[in-house]
Amino acid sequence: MEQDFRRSMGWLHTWAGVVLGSILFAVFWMGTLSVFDSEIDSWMEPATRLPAATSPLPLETFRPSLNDAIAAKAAFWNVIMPDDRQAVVHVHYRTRQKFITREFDPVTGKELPNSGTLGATGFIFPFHYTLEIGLMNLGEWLVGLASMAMLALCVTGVIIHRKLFAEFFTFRPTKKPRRMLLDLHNMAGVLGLPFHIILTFSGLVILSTTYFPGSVKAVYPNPRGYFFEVNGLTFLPVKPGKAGASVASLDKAASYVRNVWGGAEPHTILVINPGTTTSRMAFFRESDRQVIVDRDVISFEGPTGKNFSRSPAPHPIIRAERFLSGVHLIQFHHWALRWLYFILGLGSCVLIGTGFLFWLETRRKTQESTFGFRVVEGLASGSVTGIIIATLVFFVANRLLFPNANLFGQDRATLEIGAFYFAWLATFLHGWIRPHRMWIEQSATIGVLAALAALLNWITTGDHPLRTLFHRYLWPVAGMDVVLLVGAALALLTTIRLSRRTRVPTPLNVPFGERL
Amino acid sequence: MSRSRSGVVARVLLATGGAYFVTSSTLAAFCIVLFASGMSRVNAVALGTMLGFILYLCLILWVFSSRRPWQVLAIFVLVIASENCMIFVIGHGH
Repeated sequence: MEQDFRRSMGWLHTWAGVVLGSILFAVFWMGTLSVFDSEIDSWMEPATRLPAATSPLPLETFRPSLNDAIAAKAAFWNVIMPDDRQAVVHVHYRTRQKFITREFDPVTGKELPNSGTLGATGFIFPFHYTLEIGLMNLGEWLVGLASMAMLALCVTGVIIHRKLFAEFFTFRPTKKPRRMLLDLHNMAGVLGLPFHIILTFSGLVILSTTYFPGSVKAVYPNPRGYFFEVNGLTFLPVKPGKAGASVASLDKAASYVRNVWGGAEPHTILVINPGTTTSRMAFFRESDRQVIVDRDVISFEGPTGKNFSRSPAPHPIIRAERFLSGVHLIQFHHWALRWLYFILGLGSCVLIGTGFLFWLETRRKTQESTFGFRVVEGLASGSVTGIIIATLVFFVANRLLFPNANLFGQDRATLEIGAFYFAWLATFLHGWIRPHRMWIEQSATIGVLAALAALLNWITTGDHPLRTLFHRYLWPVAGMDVVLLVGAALALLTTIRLSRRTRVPTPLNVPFGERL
Repeated sequence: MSRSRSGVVARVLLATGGAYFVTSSTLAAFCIVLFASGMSRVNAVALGTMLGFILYLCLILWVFSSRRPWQVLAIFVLVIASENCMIFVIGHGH
């Protein structure tokens, strides 16, 4: 009975991994990059590489953009103040047609030129949880399915291994590739197990109302009520008012808020329905010194500036929910922990990638010519090395396109995304066409592209690693360049090792009983 | 477990679809019961959705490890039906 149970769990582990591995790798890869989203943004938008301001600008500096938002009948307008990861001030508003982002110099308050890119916060981060498939939330559902599979994979992975503790220390790089892959898979899995489980679980909890709308509908007449209540935003739902009203002084409200918080600064300032008689201003307290996403919000009536509400202290259950969100969203500022997230995230990518490769290696001898094997091989190349290549092409395109590039009526930001998808598709085709050489060729491509991206950053902006390392405000750029160069070196080393191995073919003896 | 093609398809459907509907209706019932017994709405939903994923995971593993998927299907149908009856009876009027 126990043997039977272990076998069925092994079966589930193998097939859930092969079928959903592609989506899982995309989610974990983009999530890992999102750990450093602001830093990637400053690499992709050279105009924002500015020294931090010593004191915050008065909020009235941004009044002209608020007036623009009012003129465009925007539903909301917000300002995000700089912090130690992001030097510039961001202003967002949504008009009837589109979502507008504007950036301002934190010292002079002058508007910066349009960066012409979605960057990491506009493309990589949303890709992480929507796969950029907007149709009927299909992307979010696929991510949810893959996440549930990931939880099942973690549990079944533990069940099918007997010597869990020994695998902490088992890595035999000199053994046969199949053995080495399994060692690497087990090591990445066991060492990172708490990370894989907690991050997958908290990701699901963040999107829980998308996946289980029934629970909200059961007790709320209007499902949006839960969203406002759980996030402490009960001041938000307002009736549409008449246009023509003004918005009271933002700085006066801000000084009141600082007083209440004992000097703490607001991080986000939101005006809802700006320019109407029912508008509201809201100030969100900075919370970068704690894990929990604790939104202390003070709101005011927009036209008069009269104090309206303050979010109540959350109940322990809500605090638990916000702690989970905080663990996942990493809004807190702690460089060592941020790097740990990044490294563990890469560990998850290694886990998923080696899982794919192990599946292929155990079957190569017996099933290499079958259609199913070829499909999985093509899928694995496109979804493991392919998405890395596509991301690097996205970075290279960002440095190569002219500031106001326009092709076939598409603007610069769209062209960058187009380059990403084009490259991604090409890697799937490549994996399908050249089954024997693809891993070598694709890792060589990764090495070349990563080095090229770092080089292009130097050529187009003059910020080479020796310069960026010696200026504190350029460290994000330095970090990105160093990661690119290390990645390039690793990829080229892999290429050399792989091509050496194919020249001296080692026979793969796969005992029948050992196959999963 | 049976490796026949139809058996695999049946189990996958039962694990993704069946277990999903069991979880979803259990959550709705759970929230209604908590709310009716005095917990505030926002807490009931937050607690329910956090626990829901754990329930869903256990159900998925059960479907794949069970030797008698028909029995699992019968239990799923029974649970979904009874919970939806309960929601219909006491869930009205919020």
